[in-house]
Amino acid sequence: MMISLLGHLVLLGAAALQAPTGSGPADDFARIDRWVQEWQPTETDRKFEQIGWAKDIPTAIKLAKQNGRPVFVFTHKGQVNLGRQ
Amino acid sequence: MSLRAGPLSDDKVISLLNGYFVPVYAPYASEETAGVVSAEEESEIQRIWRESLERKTGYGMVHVYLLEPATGHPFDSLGVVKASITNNLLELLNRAIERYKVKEGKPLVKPGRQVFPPHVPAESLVLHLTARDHGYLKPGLQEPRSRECNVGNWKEYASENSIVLEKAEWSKLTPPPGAASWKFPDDVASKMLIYFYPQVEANVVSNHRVNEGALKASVASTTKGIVRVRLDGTLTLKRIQEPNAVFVEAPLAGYYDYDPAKRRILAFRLATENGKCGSRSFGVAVRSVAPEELK
Repeated sequence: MMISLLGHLVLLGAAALQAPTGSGPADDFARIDRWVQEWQPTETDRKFEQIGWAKDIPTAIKLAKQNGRPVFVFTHKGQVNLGRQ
Repeated sequence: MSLRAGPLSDDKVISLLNGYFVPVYAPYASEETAGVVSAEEESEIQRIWRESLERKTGYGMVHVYLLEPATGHPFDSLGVVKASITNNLLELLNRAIERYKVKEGKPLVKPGRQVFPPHVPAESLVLHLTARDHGYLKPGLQEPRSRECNVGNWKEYASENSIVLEKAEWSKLTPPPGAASWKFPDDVASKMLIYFYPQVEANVVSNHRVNEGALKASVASTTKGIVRVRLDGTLTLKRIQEPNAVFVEAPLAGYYDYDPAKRRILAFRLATENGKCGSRSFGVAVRSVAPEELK
């Protein structure tokens, strides 16, 4: 019960931070715009996208045969392109 | 450091992969990637694993493999731990270039965004979501890491998702005539809010369940015929394997601009600055994507 109550207090505190007392709707929308802008993936986050990835292994093998290049395959769990499991 | 945040973000590695190889990343079929991996792709992954074992060229599920240009058979490999050290990966790549006397060329596939689906139904509203871990809720205090929110090295870069709302879905967001406030449709809210969690290890998003009535909508203003709709709410995200345990709690704030004349959503924003997942804090930002960004 106490943990649950504390959890709600933390959330209420967070909600208060999201909408500072006395701020108007325009301030709220500006703050939302700022979060969205500031949290976009950075250039460093997106270095991975500077690589010309083939869409799948059969496509990669086809291109490799046509161009005499080895295929680089990274097999993995989750979705490395999204940063999500 | 992870393979993506380390060597796959290194200029020398990127240059070699683009100039001498055909690079491809291949998630294997698992609960986490249900619906993402085609049967043909999984069959190819299984073949590479099997042939690598037979040829004794090294094997692992999370692993880097090199395939012969002419045949597609594996000839060299490196486990993810070693491959995540840039010099090790550079050595592997240079060895292959020397072995096949590969001449440098341009990337065979144009580099581009990896987050959006290749095809989107006409008249869809595409949303882009970024999630970022903010660290422990109490900075400086060493708390035991929550099993439910183990971020691992996924926190080294932002997580992203694309959310496609087809016309039938975003049309539900039309402000009801004469209403000052209303309940945001739960099914549309769920499509976004299931992704409101930080970068975590071993998580199955199809197991997420969003609380009913998480978002409320109200008219904030009408300017030159454009209606600005304010969104407020609280997310309580649970997972079906632990129906009584809260996975994520997050206050929500956002807005969208609706043009009643054209029956279009012109812009959409939704965010949480202070989400809570186990002992960690995180932020999420959702924005509408302009059509040109999808090209």
